[in-house]
Amino acid sequence: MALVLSGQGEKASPVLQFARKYCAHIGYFLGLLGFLWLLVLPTQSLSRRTYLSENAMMPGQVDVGFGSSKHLDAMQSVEHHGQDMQKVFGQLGLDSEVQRIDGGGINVHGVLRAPRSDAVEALVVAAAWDTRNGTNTDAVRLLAGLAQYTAEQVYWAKDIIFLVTDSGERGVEAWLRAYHGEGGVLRERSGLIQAALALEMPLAGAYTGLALHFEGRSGQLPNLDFLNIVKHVARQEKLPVYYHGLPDMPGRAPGVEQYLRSARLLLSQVRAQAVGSSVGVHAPFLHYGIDALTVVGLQAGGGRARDLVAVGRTVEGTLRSLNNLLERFHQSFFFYLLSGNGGFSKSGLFISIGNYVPAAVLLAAALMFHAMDLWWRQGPDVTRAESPKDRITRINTYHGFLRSTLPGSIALMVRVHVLGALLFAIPFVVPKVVVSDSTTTGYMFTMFVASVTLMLHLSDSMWNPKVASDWRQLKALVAVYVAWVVALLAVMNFSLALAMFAVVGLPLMLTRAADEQTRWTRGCTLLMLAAFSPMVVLTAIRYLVGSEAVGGSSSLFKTFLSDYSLFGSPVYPLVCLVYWPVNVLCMVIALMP
Amino acid sequence: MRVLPLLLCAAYAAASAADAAPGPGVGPHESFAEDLLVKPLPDGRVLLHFEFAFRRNHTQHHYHLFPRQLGEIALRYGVDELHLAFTQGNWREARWGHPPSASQGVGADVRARIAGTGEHASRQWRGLTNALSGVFCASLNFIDESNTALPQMAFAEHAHSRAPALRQGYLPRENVCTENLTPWIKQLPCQSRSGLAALLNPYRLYNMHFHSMGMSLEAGASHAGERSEQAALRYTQYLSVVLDPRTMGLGSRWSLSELVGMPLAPACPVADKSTVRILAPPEIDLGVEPLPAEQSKHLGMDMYTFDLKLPDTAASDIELVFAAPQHSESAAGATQLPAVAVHRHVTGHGGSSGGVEATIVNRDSRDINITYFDSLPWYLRVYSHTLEIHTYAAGSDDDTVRSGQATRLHPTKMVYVPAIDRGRPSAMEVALTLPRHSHTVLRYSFDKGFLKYTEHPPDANRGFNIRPAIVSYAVDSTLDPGPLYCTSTSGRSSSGACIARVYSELFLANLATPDFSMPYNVITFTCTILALFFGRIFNLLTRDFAILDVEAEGSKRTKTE
Repeated sequence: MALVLSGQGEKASPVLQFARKYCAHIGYFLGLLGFLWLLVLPTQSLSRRTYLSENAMMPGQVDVGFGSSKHLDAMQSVEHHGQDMQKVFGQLGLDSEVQRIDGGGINVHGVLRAPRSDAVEALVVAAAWDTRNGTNTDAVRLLAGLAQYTAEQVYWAKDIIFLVTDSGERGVEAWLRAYHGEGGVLRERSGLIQAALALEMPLAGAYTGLALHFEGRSGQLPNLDFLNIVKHVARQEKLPVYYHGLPDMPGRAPGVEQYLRSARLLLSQVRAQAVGSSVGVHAPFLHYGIDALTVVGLQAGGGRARDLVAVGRTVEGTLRSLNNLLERFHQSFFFYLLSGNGGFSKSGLFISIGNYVPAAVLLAAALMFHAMDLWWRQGPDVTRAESPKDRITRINTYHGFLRSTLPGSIALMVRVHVLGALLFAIPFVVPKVVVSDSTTTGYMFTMFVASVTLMLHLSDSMWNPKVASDWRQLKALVAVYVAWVVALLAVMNFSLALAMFAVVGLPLMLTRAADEQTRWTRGCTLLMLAAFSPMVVLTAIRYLVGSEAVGGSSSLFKTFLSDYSLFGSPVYPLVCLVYWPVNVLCMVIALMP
Repeated sequence: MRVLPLLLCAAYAAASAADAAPGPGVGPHESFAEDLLVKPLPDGRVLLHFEFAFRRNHTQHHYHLFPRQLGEIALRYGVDELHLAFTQGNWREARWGHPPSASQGVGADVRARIAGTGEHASRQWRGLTNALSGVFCASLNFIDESNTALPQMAFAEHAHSRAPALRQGYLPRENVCTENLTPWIKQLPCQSRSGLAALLNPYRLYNMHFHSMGMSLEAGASHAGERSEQAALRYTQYLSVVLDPRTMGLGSRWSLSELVGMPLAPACPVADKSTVRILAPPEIDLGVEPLPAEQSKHLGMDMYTFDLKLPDTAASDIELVFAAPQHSESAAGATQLPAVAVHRHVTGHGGSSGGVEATIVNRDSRDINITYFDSLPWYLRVYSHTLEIHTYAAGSDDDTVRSGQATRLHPTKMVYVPAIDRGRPSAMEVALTLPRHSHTVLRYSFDKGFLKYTEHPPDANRGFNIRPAIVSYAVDSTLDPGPLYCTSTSGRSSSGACIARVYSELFLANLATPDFSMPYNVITFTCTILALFFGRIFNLLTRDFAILDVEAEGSKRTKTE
């Protein structure tokens, strides 16, 4: 009853009446504010300098010892790509084991048992034989040298595991699954893994800096302290650290230039967080709640070049610092956006969650107000009558209207979502057919035709005079639903929430933004919605931006699908269960009477 | 005033007389023997195992050599049998072979049989751990009912039918340090002034790879020579340490005093026996200088025994000469590996649930009966129905395991005691027959409980160390010479077979940890939300709206729909 009454503005407080009147305006205003907030982020007015929160880490307070001839000999023992690493690890006195992965490929790992410790914690240093940029033999070489170095020392409080894989992230994921007893057999194990460091060293021998990549497949981030340690230690080796490998401007850059650089760095992070990182093999670790990042050797840019030993000393310093970790990482931030490298200083710039999440919340709130406005304006538009008798009839009519339309609107949403769930399930019912490269395009085309047919069918039924329906009600319900999804995602993965708003929330707000619709505007709306449909967006990214920039493999859809089945990335379910259904619903709204 | 010096002189004379003729001087009811065993390990490290054994006639109430402190504690709390061990570092059986002592799990391990039953025995047990805590400067007072298990099968071999239940308390996070060593040394009759205890140099002992220090007190059967009806009390203190001579800058030839950084002192005067034994495994080509008078075979290895009671050996140093260059780390493990090994790992990730996976290896060519004992604290809520035991032949690789060649193994006997929240830990004992040359995997799952805010230890985010699982089995002495402690009298069970015990690694249980600064924020935040919104929403939900009929206003009020 309250629902009906508030819908018809009875017994409303002055505040509520004001809200009713300006609801639409407030909605647009909040949306604009959210957008402006996003634009402010790269100005660094919301940024702070990074700092080490956990004082016990004490990075860079030890004499590093890596680089003796013995270590170099150990590095030379890795002669060629794909060598038998078990032998190398065995010679260094590590307990090593070979793991064969389902579907081809092997992992080799060696465990350095810490003397006199209780061996309940472990650190991992990982490298893949191959990376996106080619062979990674230098990283494996460095790994062997580090294994030699660590085996000589007695001060380790945690076991150190050296992992070499020939199947990239898939290999690491298989190894972690076996390590955690969730499939596969692994005998040489150690304790709980506290942190993991992945190495990626292009064949050059000389590096002008290090790039850090840290996003997980579902947008998880390692603790900010971990990044700070690496930056701090690398600085002592005169290796500047650049987040995502985006170097700073030499000298003092003008404001605009700085803004653009910061924006580029932020966008790169948002992109990586939203669709899952594709650089380095650290991502699977984050999936298991292990803080991890990838260190990539940089060759471009100015500055003095340093050799592999300097990188080794950086890794050593990082390991020594991680060795001091008394508890698991918990002191510093787990949610952050990095807005600048901070030059060659030991601290970068970051935006904490409190400073960036309002943007997503404002956008979600904009949708919410939009929905509220539509809800109040739904139903038969009767002018406010003063006669009580008329008011009673008016309220009863409205009540009847809700009773007849609400089930239909909700049923429509459910129907489209059931189809979305079907779409979600198809690749798992017929897996081999869909996942191959050539069929993906076909699959997406079928999906497109299906959604157009569905949309036409559904909206056609709406024109039937016997079917009571109101586009405002449907749009209000969908907007509440999308606002809810965006707000929920903002808590877990800010970037994904932004992406969802861009492809789902924004087109929804624009659909029938003006009350009156001509044939011309209807056509434009449909075109716009088609442009925002998953098939077009995914294909456009693939051909316009290049899929390497976002996903990696040739087809984005395929990437999302495999990310979901291998690493539990939420993008594929979101596309099938939210993105596609809402897009279809928007088209239906546009075509409704 | 001249009496005092005179008295002192007399006492000194008496003491030196006792020194001159030690054995009989202390009286027949007490005896003391000290022994150091040096065993080079295949990977270049060296095991030093000190053992100080006391025997005492139970009926005597006079203490001479036997540490009075412990004797009185045992008497006061009705202790039938007591074992205490402090260990740091994992014993790496795949490289080093059998462990030197029966208890080798990381942390502090206390086992006792206490006379009496029920509440009384629990009280006595608490008293005992508190007393021991004082004696050994350790946190043993943290042992209470919630971390005490009462294993029924795992330690049954010593028990006669009327023996009281064995209690085992375990502190997996206890660190061992010199503050524990000092009171330990204090129990010895010569302390560290002479005898083998003089070699206990903390600077070297704690720069080690494995360290275990303990004592055991038990009523043992008398020697055949003594009056057999009289029970004797046996008390042994031992300390095992694995050192790496290479990290001390020692090459292929070094002496014992160089290794421990202390000169070899003369035997403790009141000791009946004082020996240094050097055990050379067959895979190590070892020369000993000077050669002692006594050479024998022990556990299939060459043994050189030096008697420190003899005046000539007491003065000299013992040198070890390795013919082959010191084995590098890559050298294969000991040729004689223990028949049974156990490794236990935690599975799963995240803060809500997990599991335990224990792998028991049988390297022997015969089936072995073992008892697996695992006790988890109450906050890991074990589902006993999830216990799965699979076995597969050793050497089979992953593929055969996956293709289902693993066979299900049924326990011959199983005792499971469920946990009580904040009361007692769960205890699982499984008796199994391991097929020859096999790997047997036990798996079971648990849910992680929520702890109260104040129940978290300091450094709460580290998680909880969980005590090791213990596998015990009877060593077949015809095939396997067995561990060192089997040859000493204390290791033998009443039936004569030696029971070997293998401890697994600890594991770290990560529970959901509150942000300890957060409750205040949460309380204020939640209260604000409630205050602001609850009233409005509640009002809207419960109010019954009615339309007023304005026409009738003034005369009468009617309710319309």
